Amino acid sequence: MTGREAQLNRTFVELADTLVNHFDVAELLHTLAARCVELFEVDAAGLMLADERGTLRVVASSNEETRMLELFEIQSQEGPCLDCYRSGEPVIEENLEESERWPRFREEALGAGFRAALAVPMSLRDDVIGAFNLFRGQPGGLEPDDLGACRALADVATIALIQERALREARLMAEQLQRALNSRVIIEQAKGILAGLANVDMDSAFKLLRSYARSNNLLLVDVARDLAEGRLSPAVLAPRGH
Amino acid sequence: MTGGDRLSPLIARLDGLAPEDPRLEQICRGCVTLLDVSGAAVILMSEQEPGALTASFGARVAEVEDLQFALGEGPCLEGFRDGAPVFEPDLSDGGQERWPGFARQAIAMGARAVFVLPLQLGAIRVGVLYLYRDRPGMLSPAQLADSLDLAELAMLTILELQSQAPPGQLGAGLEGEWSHRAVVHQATGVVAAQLSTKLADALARIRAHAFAEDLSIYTVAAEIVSGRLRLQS
Repeated sequence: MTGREAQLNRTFVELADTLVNHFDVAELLHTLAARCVELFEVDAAGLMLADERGTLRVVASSNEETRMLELFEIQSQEGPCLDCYRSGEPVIEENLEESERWPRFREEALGAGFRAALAVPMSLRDDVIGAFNLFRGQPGGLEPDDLGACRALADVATIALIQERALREARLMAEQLQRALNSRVIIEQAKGILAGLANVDMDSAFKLLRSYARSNNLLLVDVARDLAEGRLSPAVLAPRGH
Repeated sequence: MTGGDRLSPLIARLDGLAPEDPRLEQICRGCVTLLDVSGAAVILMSEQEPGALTASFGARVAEVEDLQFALGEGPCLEGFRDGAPVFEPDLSDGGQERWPGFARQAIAMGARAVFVLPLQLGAIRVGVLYLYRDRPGMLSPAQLADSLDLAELAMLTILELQSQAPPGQLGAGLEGEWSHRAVVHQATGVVAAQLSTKLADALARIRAHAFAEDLSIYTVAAEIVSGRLRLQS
């Protein structure tokens, strides 16, 4: 195994780890951008991901110039990454100086010292979630093997990100579920606390809770929770009890 | 959502058993058919909610589940708290030591073995899948594998239902049989106020009183709420 193959393998192991462990998305993306520069014959790399509305955003770059160039690409709505995101296929421009594609992007890229640009999609089946952007200071593309390895890296990163999104969504739903379950218990408990102190029945206790919540522009469940957890004195809500 | 493809053969089997039923009901029915158990229930739980039966299939499963709410002990509470499956293949043997009150009454209701699978995804936990058998005996390895898939599908279904709910509310189909529990939570509040104790302590007092007097927790709670019973400090 060559040193580069070993390095590539290590990167895949690193990625696979993120699939099973809790991971920081921002850190994963920055690691990927840095690894692209180490592994492939490119001088800079950046990652763009689509947000919920399908708008691409720059999420990681191997250096500041690349980040500016990618921001410009999004702003001017033309460039290899955008084409790649729209088509779901790699986009390769081996010589920007002789190219007529993307006139505004081309000028900006040449100004930043880049002579070639490539984009590799981050996709799972038909779902394209973003793209890798690779830039070279000299004209030329990637060897077929390198392009293949880069696509594989993008695929694995995509799976990690999609899984992370699903988990984040699941966590949010589970939290909302737990809160809703807690709420209905807490409201009944709070009614009981008021009833116990003010010597009123449950319906009257509920009315006291509701009118306090309304007149203070609070949610019923928040008033109930404050009462149940002792942050709100029942005397504030109830007329003089026993 | 994750796991959907792997679980599609199971979903097809469940659809074959009861095509018209809501998914969670299908899962409970599927447990009884595929795992050879007597009853199954999907129970939602949270810090404040010791267990809300959301779907069930099989004789007396709701009663056995309700026992745990009444007693404050049992395999569902343990499985949810620890986030690990609980297998008790013979309630009259090991179960007696683990949950003395629960085991005695569950056996009287006809349960001889209980199995609990937490409904969880990583560290996210929303409840348990509760299974019981009217005879002793462990699940077979194949049944165990199926039970894990059924629990995973239940978890995904719950999250899916919840994702369609308005903020602050439970998803449609997740409310469960709950209204009979309200009186116990109200009584908990009453006792906490009267004795100036924490809510958890108040609920423990109500449970202890019901146990000592051999009454149902609902009877005791109703007495407290109506003012006919006042627990002493």
